[in-house]
Amino acid sequence: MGQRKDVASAMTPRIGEGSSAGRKRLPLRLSGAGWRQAAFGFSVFVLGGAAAMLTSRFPVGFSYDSAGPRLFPGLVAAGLMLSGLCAVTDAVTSPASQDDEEYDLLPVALIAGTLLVQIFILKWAGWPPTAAMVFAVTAWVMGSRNLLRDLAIGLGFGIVTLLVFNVGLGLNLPLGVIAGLFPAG
Amino acid sequence: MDTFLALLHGFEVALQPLNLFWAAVGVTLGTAVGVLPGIGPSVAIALLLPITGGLDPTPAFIMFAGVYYGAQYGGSTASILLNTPGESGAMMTALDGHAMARKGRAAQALATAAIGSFVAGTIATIGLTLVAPLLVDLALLLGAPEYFGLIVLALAVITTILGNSLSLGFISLFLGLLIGCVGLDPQTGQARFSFGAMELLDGIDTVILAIGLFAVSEILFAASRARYHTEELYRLAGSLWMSAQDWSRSWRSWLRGTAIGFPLGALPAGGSELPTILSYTLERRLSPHKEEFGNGAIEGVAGPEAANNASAAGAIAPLLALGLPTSATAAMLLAGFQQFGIRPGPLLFETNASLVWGLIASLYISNVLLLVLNLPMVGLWVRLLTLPRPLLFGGIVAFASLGAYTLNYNTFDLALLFLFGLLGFVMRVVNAPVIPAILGLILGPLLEQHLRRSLAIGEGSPMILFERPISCTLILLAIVVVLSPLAVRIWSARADRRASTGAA
Amino acid sequence: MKHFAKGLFAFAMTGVAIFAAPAVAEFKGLEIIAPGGPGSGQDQAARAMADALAKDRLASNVQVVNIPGGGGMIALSQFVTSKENNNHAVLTQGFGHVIFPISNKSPVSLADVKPLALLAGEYEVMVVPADSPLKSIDDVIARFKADPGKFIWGGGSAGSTENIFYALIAKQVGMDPKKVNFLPHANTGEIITSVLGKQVNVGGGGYQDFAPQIEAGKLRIIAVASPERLPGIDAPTLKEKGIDVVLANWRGVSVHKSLTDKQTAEVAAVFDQMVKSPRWQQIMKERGWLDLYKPSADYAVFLEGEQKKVREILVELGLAQ
Repeated sequence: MGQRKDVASAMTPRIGEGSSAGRKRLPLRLSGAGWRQAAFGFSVFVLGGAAAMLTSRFPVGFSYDSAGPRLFPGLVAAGLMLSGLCAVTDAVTSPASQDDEEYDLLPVALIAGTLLVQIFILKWAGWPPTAAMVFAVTAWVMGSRNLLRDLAIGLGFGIVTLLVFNVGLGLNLPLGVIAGLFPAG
Repeated sequence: MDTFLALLHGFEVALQPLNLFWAAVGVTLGTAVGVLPGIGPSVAIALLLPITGGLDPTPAFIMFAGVYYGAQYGGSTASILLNTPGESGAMMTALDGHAMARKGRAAQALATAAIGSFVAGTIATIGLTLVAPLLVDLALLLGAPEYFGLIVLALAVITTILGNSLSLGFISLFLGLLIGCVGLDPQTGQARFSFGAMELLDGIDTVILAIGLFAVSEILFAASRARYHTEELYRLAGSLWMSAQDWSRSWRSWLRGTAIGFPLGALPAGGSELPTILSYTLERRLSPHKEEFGNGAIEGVAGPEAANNASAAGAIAPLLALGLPTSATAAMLLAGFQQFGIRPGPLLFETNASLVWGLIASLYISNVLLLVLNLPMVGLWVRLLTLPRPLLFGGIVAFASLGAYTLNYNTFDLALLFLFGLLGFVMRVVNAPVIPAILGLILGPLLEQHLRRSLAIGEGSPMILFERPISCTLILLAIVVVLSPLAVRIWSARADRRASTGAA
Repeated sequence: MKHFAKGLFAFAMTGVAIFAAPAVAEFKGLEIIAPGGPGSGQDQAARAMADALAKDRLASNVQVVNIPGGGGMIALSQFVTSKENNNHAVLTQGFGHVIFPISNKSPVSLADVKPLALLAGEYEVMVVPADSPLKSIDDVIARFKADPGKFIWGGGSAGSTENIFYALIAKQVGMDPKKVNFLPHANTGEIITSVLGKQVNVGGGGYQDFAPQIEAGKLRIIAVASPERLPGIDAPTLKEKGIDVVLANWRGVSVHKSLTDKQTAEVAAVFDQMVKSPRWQQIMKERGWLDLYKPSADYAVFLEGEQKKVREILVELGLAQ
């Protein structure tokens, strides 16, 4: 991979690679994108290390299974560590980029938060209210300002799908708060 | 000639009005089922079996055939419109299909998918009638070493499309491979990376990773950029019809996709993703519009869609020729046969000729019905995308949650959806490609299992891979595929240098 | 006059209803929990039970609940935590659920539920391609003993019934079970393909899995792991060839441990009736299942025997946790 990367890097653009024809220098300040890539690469490196440690605790294969349960995950862990390192070095050796992108994390946290909350309330509240919450929160975060209407749409979606799955197909979406309406066991 | 007459008779059966009705019911149910990520055609047929007990076998199977093909089409529709692939075979379609939708070309994507599926289905159904037993005999020649070679080749081809940053592309691939290692190891029965969670023992479903990495992360990303950059998404760009250029770019992809999909679909251990993966990568390599791939290249939809449909037909071949189910859906069809007291097996063509030919004919009819019923609906589907963005995104997230939960009726999958959504978001922020992760998840376990089985057959020695002609050829081919771009670059660099020194 | 006619009518209807009522009181409301997704083996068994119970009016409002995943342990675990004192819920299980907790560190096992009834199943068979030079189990053993590494046995994944099957056979003929070169497969279709394509020397599974191929003359049964010869199967049992291995893929039902004897007896009676019912008999015939019925106490003893057998061989294979 090393040799190929050198050849490839001569051809393909890196982060904000400019026109400088000389040798690459370590920039004094990383661009935002550079920091992000470096952080990502480092996290992947750590993940790979953790995976390698876990893999070493797997049992060895027996009899004719010469590769065993360790070989493949071990290679993957090594690959993660190696490519993570490469990502970090790429980020650090690239010149600062021109325009940096900004990311607004609050909306992300809100939507992701809803997805997290739904894990805990689904069984208790049932599917329709959960669907209402997920739909309305996402819509609100993305700009809709008619909360009541969105809750109603989400609830409607939840009820329709509930009927289709539970009544039509005999499957089991959670009923939650309306379980009292259905006397069946 | 006999076969042809038998097929005609089959059409006679399939075209009776009552059977046409059942085909229509099946196709509609199938499309609905295909759109939902949590239910596949196998589950749908399993649920329909008790209900069809009272029917004659022929209309029941005609309906099942409709469900089968309808599900493929539904999966593609969800892929293109919502970026939530309903079927594993529709995953490749989501890449360029949804990109086309974002550019306002959803109608063309849906159209090329529908027509491509139709073309592939037609050719594949003819193939079924003519060569099913032959295909199956060839399929039996393949063992673990050959499958290993095939997957190595697929991986080799994929590494050539990892995107601009090799390190990020490889990170994505390795992440997918790592996720594929989670679960019980089939060779030793030991749990790997499961952290004591019973839910992880069966591994992580590709569909969950796909929905999280594609749909949810895209919405998270859009949320994070909403303040700075409002894209004009999904505006319909002009007409709903495919342009002449679309047609000329699509038709070869349809044929190539069929050629790849049909034989691979008949392979017992092939799976539905391998044909579409290979088709996508082939289309990208052959296309003069490489840069468009990932951003709405129509070949990226035409090829995999045709491959998907052709492989669905191909998967029926072992079922009909040998009574061998090679996929979950085929196993359900088999159960269906058994429910009606029919024993599929090598003798099926003799003992139940009219049912078999009726089934084959109805596969074809379902194809036609899908095209006829769905092409006009394209306009309607596309309207869905013109909903205000907040509502559309809200719907996609709710839909993704429904799909994730209904995989196993376990909130654990919702936690996975959350995690993968965040992972996909982070990857998008650093510009890491998302596709290699999915490919890693799909191909990793296959690669490992076939390798270890090959080693077992070879009593622990890897030489078995090279002793068998087919696997040896495939592996060498893979090496060539990986090294050839490298060789070309070195050679052309040297040629340039020689030319420049020569000119000096 | 009108009132009189109405009253007479009501009286007549009640009379009809009383006389038309089934002889056995219907068990009102039953949940059958299947540790598998729709279409899986456990699900098929559960739905067959639901079908028979409903058709023969032994129970009303029978529902099948699918809880797939974790080798059946997720369903088992949820059953234990949520069905306390509930004798209107049963859990289906199979031989695989005896194996799984032994080969994996599972926090739950079948010891956490009360066995109710063993219902039906199939005995393991060993098959070869029709044109194989192996004509009998003696040939198989001879080839195996001569060069264990080169003789390949095909079956499900590690810890599957076939894994246990072959290991037990090896032990019986005096070979180290670890020497069996077992090739795992993902499903029956793959096993059949491997056998037909000669990627393995022998394959194993239930008779029904191979029946179409056998009837078409493509596969041949070498031996069956049943106590006596089975009707319709022209192959010797392992026992009569001197190899004492009896192994079946069976299905049974269990209830929650907290039930009183009275509660258990009530629901046990339902299944006791079911196995005698015409619809169940018909289903078994269609699917090729054998009647292995054992009521509660006998089933518990049977389970203990299976557990012991499996634990012993898994320890020897090095697969036990």
